[in-house]
Parts: sequence; structure tokens; C-alpha cells
Amino acid sequence: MFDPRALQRFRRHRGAAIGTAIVIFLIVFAILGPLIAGHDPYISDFENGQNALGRPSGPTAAHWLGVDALFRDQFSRLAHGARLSLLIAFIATALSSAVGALIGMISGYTEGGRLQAVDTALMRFVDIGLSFPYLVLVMAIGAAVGETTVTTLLLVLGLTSWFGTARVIRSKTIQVRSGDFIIASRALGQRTWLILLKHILPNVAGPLIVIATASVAQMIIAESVLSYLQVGLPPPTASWGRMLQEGQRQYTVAPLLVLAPGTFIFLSVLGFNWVGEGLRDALDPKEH
Amino acid sequence: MPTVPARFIALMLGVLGVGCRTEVKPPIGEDRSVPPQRGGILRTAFYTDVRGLDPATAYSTTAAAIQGLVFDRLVKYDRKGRIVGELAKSIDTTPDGKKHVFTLRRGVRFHDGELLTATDVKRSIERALHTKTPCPGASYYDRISGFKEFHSGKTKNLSGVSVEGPHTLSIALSEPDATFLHALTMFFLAPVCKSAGSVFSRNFSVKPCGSGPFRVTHYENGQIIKLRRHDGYWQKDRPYLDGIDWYLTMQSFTQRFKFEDGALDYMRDFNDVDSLLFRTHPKWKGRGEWESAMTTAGAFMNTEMPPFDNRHVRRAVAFALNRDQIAMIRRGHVEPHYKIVPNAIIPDAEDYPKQRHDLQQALKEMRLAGYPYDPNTGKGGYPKEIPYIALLESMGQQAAVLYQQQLKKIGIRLRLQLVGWPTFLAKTGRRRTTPMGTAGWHADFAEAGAFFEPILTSRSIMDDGAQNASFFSNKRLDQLISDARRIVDPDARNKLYRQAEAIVRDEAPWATTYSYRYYELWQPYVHGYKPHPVASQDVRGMWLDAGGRKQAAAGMPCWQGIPSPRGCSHAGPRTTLAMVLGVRR
Repeated sequence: MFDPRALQRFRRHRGAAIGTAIVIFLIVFAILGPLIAGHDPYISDFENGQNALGRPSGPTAAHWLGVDALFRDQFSRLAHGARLSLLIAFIATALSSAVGALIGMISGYTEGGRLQAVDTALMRFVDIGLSFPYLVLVMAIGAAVGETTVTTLLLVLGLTSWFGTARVIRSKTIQVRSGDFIIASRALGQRTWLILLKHILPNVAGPLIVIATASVAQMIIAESVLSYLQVGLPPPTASWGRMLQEGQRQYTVAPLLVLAPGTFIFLSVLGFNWVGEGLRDALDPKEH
Repeated sequence: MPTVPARFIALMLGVLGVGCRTEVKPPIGEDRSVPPQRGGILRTAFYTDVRGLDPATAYSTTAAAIQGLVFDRLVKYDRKGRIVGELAKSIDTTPDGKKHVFTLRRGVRFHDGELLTATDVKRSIERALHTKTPCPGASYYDRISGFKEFHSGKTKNLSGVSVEGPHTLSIALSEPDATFLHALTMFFLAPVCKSAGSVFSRNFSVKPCGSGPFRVTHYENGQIIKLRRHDGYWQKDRPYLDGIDWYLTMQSFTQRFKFEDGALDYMRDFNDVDSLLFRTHPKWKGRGEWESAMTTAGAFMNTEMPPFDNRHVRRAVAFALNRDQIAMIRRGHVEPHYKIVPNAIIPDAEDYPKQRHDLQQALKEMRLAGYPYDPNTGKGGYPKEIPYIALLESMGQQAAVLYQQQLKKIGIRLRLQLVGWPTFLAKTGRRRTTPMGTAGWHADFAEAGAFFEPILTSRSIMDDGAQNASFFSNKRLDQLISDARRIVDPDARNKLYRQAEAIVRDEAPWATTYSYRYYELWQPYVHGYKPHPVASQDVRGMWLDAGGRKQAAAGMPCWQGIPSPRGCSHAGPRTTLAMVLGVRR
């Protein structure tokens, strides 16, 4: 169960406060940005997007952050990219956390008992999963899937990143399951799945939330890297990684095309990691 | 923890402001008025890889640039675009145009030291056209007498090619072929050493041996090809260079920084931004030159697959694409283009049959096709998304995004599939596989037939590996191209090509949209180079001024990874970002 003083500790954590502010800013930007941008991120504006030399313009009143190489509004693409990046990161994290928690709890609960084989099998599978470099694995699956859509990207990211979560949750489950309340529940004949859901899950929720928060940052990086390496969502999708990749050609004359998506990737990773650290310190102060 | 690619980290560090370069450095080294001199290693790079150098099978502009240094052909184009002898001292053609007699130069040696004779030339031709050699250009030579029987493996001797003396060779044709000598300027039939064997072998592809001015001493796929001077070269005191180090798969971005810091001597793979920076820099201005545009590009539409089996849909696409907008995305490098043959081969004219941009006409064609579309309500159009295949990180990819926008206005929705080169070739060359995609063709030789024949005639349709990606079959066009090959008078020949253009305009198997040209730039101490009007990157005549280069080498930072014969200095703060962005490939 959560320590009632956790919220207080979280509030006092300076990094967490800054991280929370960044995350709130990103969420607000993702929600409101596309509405205030006033341009379609997928339509080139050849009329207002040119400078005197006929090249894509820098920041102007019509295009606040200028236009990209294909004369599309950079601000609008950034805002839509925020929506996409956060959406993918949150859903993939939810998926990864759900799978990781389930596998971890089953594995931890069966450890040392009649169903030890289940724990052994699951943990060897986790070992194999962890032995693959994460991004290489994701890229290989992405390439094998061929056509990348939001759904395939979510599944690929979500289903390849739960191994670490499962490990941690298993350890925590082993720790929790020896508690009197679990023994009592068993003695009263409560079903295993109910014990896992009602007693184990709330007790492993702390580390699960901490891992999930940090995982959001990792998902943002993963999605950006995949898009940067052109194995993510295909063009013309506005995603930060793709914007970074497309902008690097113009880096010397239009650094903003790289600077803007790069800053957002940087901020979001920083923000979520700091929130994760704050949560970790708040929820489990003894360990830190 | 996830492993993040170095380039990604590098770019992120760049974002954090490790450094910023908004202009190019002035040239280092000196342009001195000195006579041509021998010596030095030229350093240059390709954006792409070179997959094999066997002249019989390698078929790309990058391979051709290297082949031009390793192999001599019977004939070549001179600087005015005329066909002249290379290994052939003289060429005599019979009045009926059905026989060419080549008198070979004496004293020509292969890289293995053997003297070249007419027998070697015949052996090389038979090797290239052998049934077991996958020569992609074999059809260019199908009018050599006995070609069919030999190419199908029925005979062991190509009867049309005769050795008439140690240095005399004749080639008899079954019918006159105005494009034959042009086709001989390609490398497919270039004489090769005996070690090449009688058919294609992969081993020879990476250890080629010819009679050109340079021999290959090191070939590492995706990394580097090292060429060194062939001391037995027939042309006295040539080549000037001791050798050439040709780096492979080096990003244009990286090339630019290496060039700027003097680690590359000559460069061509500029992106539009970098070429603009160099072209407009007062000290670089006027140092480089544009290569003539011998490329036509656009989108192919597979005429055997819906919806492009309906000619009205194809015509709608051709009308809908706005070429002026497409040309804006790489100003200078890209010109709007409306016909199959590049303007460098047949100049454009007001009355020349060509495609045009007309949105209303495009909507009309959609109605005729049975897919009416109302742009005001967005209702109607072709109901399914159409997969569009494009090459990763190419101009074709950028153009495809604009096609997507422009075709949406007539109710056609494209879904982009970005693939690498091998996948692109496999998918576009396989029958009934890819409905639409990036189309592009670079002239094999300076003749309009070099465009129509390989990409739009029925003869270039195969179930697998077809160059005719639109699988366009039109008997009238086939006949026109076939007839044109027989006509020796260029004007009369061009009249037939003009009729062929009209067929392409009306049937629209391709929507031609742009032609691409490269900007080439070399250091002040590099001399003897001008872009060739036909051949790509013909650097045979280059020479380096050692005195001028010394200064360049002194300014070269150590991080480049490309060693300098004169050492290097430490990178200053201005090069920091270049260091980061140019991290190991």
C-alpha cells in the first residue's frame, strides 16, 4: 500500500517538481498545440512558406517556427508530433507494464512452490528477452513487420520492453507473498487470481509506477530513434524523430528544424525521468 | 538500457548547442598556375555502395564511374559528346551500316601485363553475352549476327563477332542499328583479362582486371575502393594520379564536412542546402560546375494493376502533379520535367509532345475513369489507398510526399512504403506486385532510345527483374523504337522518338515530374577536371598540385579518419559540431 507521506515527499523533491512541470507542459502542448497551430501539418504552404530566395522560410508571422524542407509548418508538425509521441509512449508503457506486472506476479507467486517450473520457464524467457539489445530487437521486428502503423509500433514497443518490469515485480511479489495477509487469504480459500489482484498488485504498484514513468521516457526515445532511422511511422507522419531526421539536411541553414524536435525529445525524456526519480524516492524512501 | 545509435546521439548533442555552422569555410589550399604533374592520391566518396565491378553485370552510375577508370572500351564519347575510338584506333562502317570493323591500338596491356588482342575483345564480348552471364544490357546488342543462338546457349560461338587479325575485329549486325556504337560506349562489352573466365563470376566482380588507367588494389564493400595507377597504360604519361581512394556509403552530410576540411578532394553528392552554401560563398563561387542533367524522374504506374489498368486514372495522375512545386524542394538540383527524354538529349520545345499540370483536366479524367471526385466536399475518388514505393532517404521520397498531397486533390490517396535499393528493385521488377512508385532513369548513353527501350517497351517486361516497372505494353511504341534503331539520320530518328513521346503523354505509364542534376566541386589544388557531357564523374584527367595541396593538408583536423600524407592538426572549436555529426558510420 502507498505510504500516506509519499505525496509530501514527492512535493518536496525538486527534480520531481520540475519534471512534473515539464510533463504538464508537454501534455498541454500536445492537446492544445494542434488547435492553435492554424496549419495542416501535412500540407505544404508554397505561398507563405518561402523566403526571398524561394527557399523554405524561417520563423515568420505565418509560420512561427518556420517551415520544413517540404514547406510544411514546423510548429504544427511539432504539436502533432507531441500528440503522437506521447500517445505512443503512454499506451506502449501501459501495455508493457501490464504484461510485465502479470508475468512478474505469476512468476513471483509460483516461485518455490508446486509450480516452480512456471517461474523457471518465465524467467528464462525474460533472460533471453533481456539479452537482446532493446532497440536492435525493436528494429528487427519493425523491419520484419514491414509496413509500420501506430498499432504495430505500439505492439512492438509494448511487447518488447516488459522484461525488466517482470524481473522487478517478481522480486517484489516474492517479498509480499510471505506476508500474513496473503497467508490468511490463502487459508480462507481465496482464489489465486483474486489474491494477485487484490493483495499483490496494490503492494507492487509503487515500483510498477516508478518503472512505468521511466519507461515513458524510454518509449519516447525508442519511437524517435525508430523514426529517425526511418523504420518508424512512414512519411508524412509528423513525429519528432522523423522531423529530426528530415531536418538534419537543412541543419546548417535552418538549425531550428533540428533544434525544435530535439529540444522536445530532450525535455520529455528529462521530464519523465525526473518524475520517475521523484516517485521512486517518494514511494520507497528506505531504499534511497 | 536501450542502445541508441551514435548518429542520433550526435544530432542530439548538436541540438544542445555543442556547435553550430551556418556557413562553409573558405577553400584551403591554393589554385596555382602550374603545369600538369604526376603523383598524389585523389580522395573522394559515394553516397551509395558499389556492388561489384564486373563490366558485364554491374549496372549503376556509381559502378560506371569506377569502371571508367579500370576498363577501356572500344569506343567512348569525347568531350563534345561524339563517339570516338578508345581502344579502337579506327572504326570503319560499311555503307549499309551492317558491319563495323575496329582496328585496335597496339601495345595496350591489361593490368596483368598481357597484351590486348582482337581475340581478347571477342572473348570479352562472348563472356558478357553468354547465356550464364546475367548481363542486364544484353538486349542492346541483340542485333549482332548470331546473338539469339549464342545468348540462348544454342551455339558456342558468337558468329557476328570475327577476329580478322591480331588487331582487327569486325562486328556484323543482322540489321542496321543506329544505337549500336552508342551502346558500345557502355561498359558491358569492355575487354577484360583472361582471369575473368568465360562467364560471369562473383570473384572477378571484386577483383576486376581490365586495361584502363587504374587497377583495383583493394575493394571493401560499403567502405572503400582503392585504385592505383596501371603502369603499363597505353597512353604515355597518363594517368597523372598515383591513385584514387573512393570511399563508399558516406553520407552526403559527412562528405560535405570532410570536403570542407580538406579530407576529400572532389565531391558530387551535395544536398541542395550544402551546394547552395558553396555556390554562394564568395571564395568557392565559380569553382564547381553542374553536371548535365541526363536523368528523368517521376512516378510509374503499373498498367497491369488497378486502378492504373484504367488509362484515365493514369492520365489523371499525370495532369494532377504540379512539377513546379516539386522542383522547389531542391532548388537548383531539380528542374520541372514533362517528358521522358531529358532536355540534354532532345531539347524541350513549345510544340514537343509532353505532359502538363492541369487540375481541372485531372478531375475530368477521374470522372471518365468512373471515380468522380468533388474537391469541395472531399467525396468520391478512388476508394482504396494505393501503396506507393519509394527509396529511403532519396529525392524520390520527398517527391512522394508531395505527390501524396497533390493526388489527394483528385481523390487518390497514397500510402508510402519506404524501402532500400535491393527491395525496391525486387518489388518494382516483379509482375503485378507494385501499383505505383518512384520512377527514374539515367541515360546509359546519349540517345533517346536509351530511355524508351529499357523502361517502356514490351521487350523489357519480364515476370521478375523487369526494368519496365509500369509493365507498359504498346505495339505502336515498340515498333517506333525498333524502327528508330534502324535509322542512321539523327533528325529522322528523333521524329520517331517524338511520336513515342506522344504515346507516353497520352497513355501515361509514367508521370514524369523532374530531372535531377548534380553539382560537382573540387579543391583549388585539383586540376584537369570538368564534368563530362555524358559520362558521370570521369576523373581520369585529374591531377593534383602537390604544393597547393600541402596547405590543405596542414589545416586538416585529426578526427577525420582519413589519413593525410602530410599529417594533420587538431580540430579547432569551429569543427566541433562537424566532429559530432560526422561520427563513425
